[in-house]
Amino acid sequence: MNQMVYFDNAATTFPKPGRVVDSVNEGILRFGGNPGRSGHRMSMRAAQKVYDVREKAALLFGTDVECVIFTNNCTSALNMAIKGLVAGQDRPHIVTSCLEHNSVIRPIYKLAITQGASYSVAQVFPGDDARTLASFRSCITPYTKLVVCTYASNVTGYGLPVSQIGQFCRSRGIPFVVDCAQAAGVLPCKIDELNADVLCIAGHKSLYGITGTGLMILRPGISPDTIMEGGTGSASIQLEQPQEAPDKFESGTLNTVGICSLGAGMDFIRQIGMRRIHEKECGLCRRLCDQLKHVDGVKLYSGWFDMGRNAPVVSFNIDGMASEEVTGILDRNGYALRGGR
Amino acid sequence: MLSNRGECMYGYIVVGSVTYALKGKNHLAKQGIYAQVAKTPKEYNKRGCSYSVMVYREDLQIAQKLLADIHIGIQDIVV
Repeated sequence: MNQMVYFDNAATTFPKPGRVVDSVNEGILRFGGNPGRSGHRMSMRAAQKVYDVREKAALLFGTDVECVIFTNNCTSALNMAIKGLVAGQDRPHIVTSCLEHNSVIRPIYKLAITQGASYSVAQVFPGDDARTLASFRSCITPYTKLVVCTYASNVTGYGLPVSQIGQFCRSRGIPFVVDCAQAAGVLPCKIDELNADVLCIAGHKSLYGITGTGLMILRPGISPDTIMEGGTGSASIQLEQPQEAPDKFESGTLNTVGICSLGAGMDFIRQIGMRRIHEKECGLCRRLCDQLKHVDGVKLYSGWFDMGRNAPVVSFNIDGMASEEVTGILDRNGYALRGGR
Repeated sequence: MLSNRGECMYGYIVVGSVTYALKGKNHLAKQGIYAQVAKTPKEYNKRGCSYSVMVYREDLQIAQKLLADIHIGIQDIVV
């Protein structure tokens, strides 16, 4: 096989740490029972394993163990948070930013066309937090029921002043949801420090889990409505969905194998140190940007690699070419990158 | 498990989910109370499938208090 240089870690990290690969094997062989459904030894062992990973996530994101919800990916978590927090509200107003991924803006758009929701898009001014915050403030109306924004842009890596946005939301009693897809695992994401009510996390990016994993982290006391109901292994003769987290949000059998991989990924981060990982990745990004600056026709969209603030993502294009064309050529030369809009 | 007199040595503290049961078990273990998590036996489970924290009967009272301290909702106590 030809050697490939993988640059697509912002989409999915690769290769995974060896312990993550091993954990998948272990997940299939050792934790193959259905967690939280049966009472036999293998099922209980799986339930214990899921609980152990929940505890690791609770520690990493600063919440209670039952406030860690396993999801299929960050998009699932965002849909659950956004739709769940405005459910049943009459014509809710939502504020978001101009840097959002479709996983934020599409659920909002759907609410706009089905639930009469309205939304405002706050402008982000790179390097000028005061102006960004003022933009968020100016979007708030008496009908605002939710603020949702990314921690750091998936396109440029630019980090928003999320903690200050959260502080403002808290002072106004407005729930605040943060899309931590690019941040979790490389930037500090303690829910209280971010003044957030819900964090939505991708498991397969910087947490090093396998694809098909994600987390919704709740601040204790926050309980969105459900967007999906079903079997939870609890209160099974009741028609009503259990109202206690995590069961309330985890209908259907959990992805035990994926959860095992998430646990191993979080162990890897703890062992290496999040700060060290971020430092190394920012260093690589700086090096790449410094080199790209000298290539004729290259246009750089990133360049902020401050510690503890921006995600290590480099975005660039070449004048006169579509990004997919550029990534296609690079792919044929052994470089894996993401092109697109 | 039965005692020499043929009585069940354990009591069941029925909680809302397997997560709460495991959280409760860990908390009790830290306080030196032996506990296990088990699926609630059918005859005791009024709301359908559920999980319980099983403790020695003599520890039931203190276990209830300790679980309440960490806000674990107790749905039933079965001895």
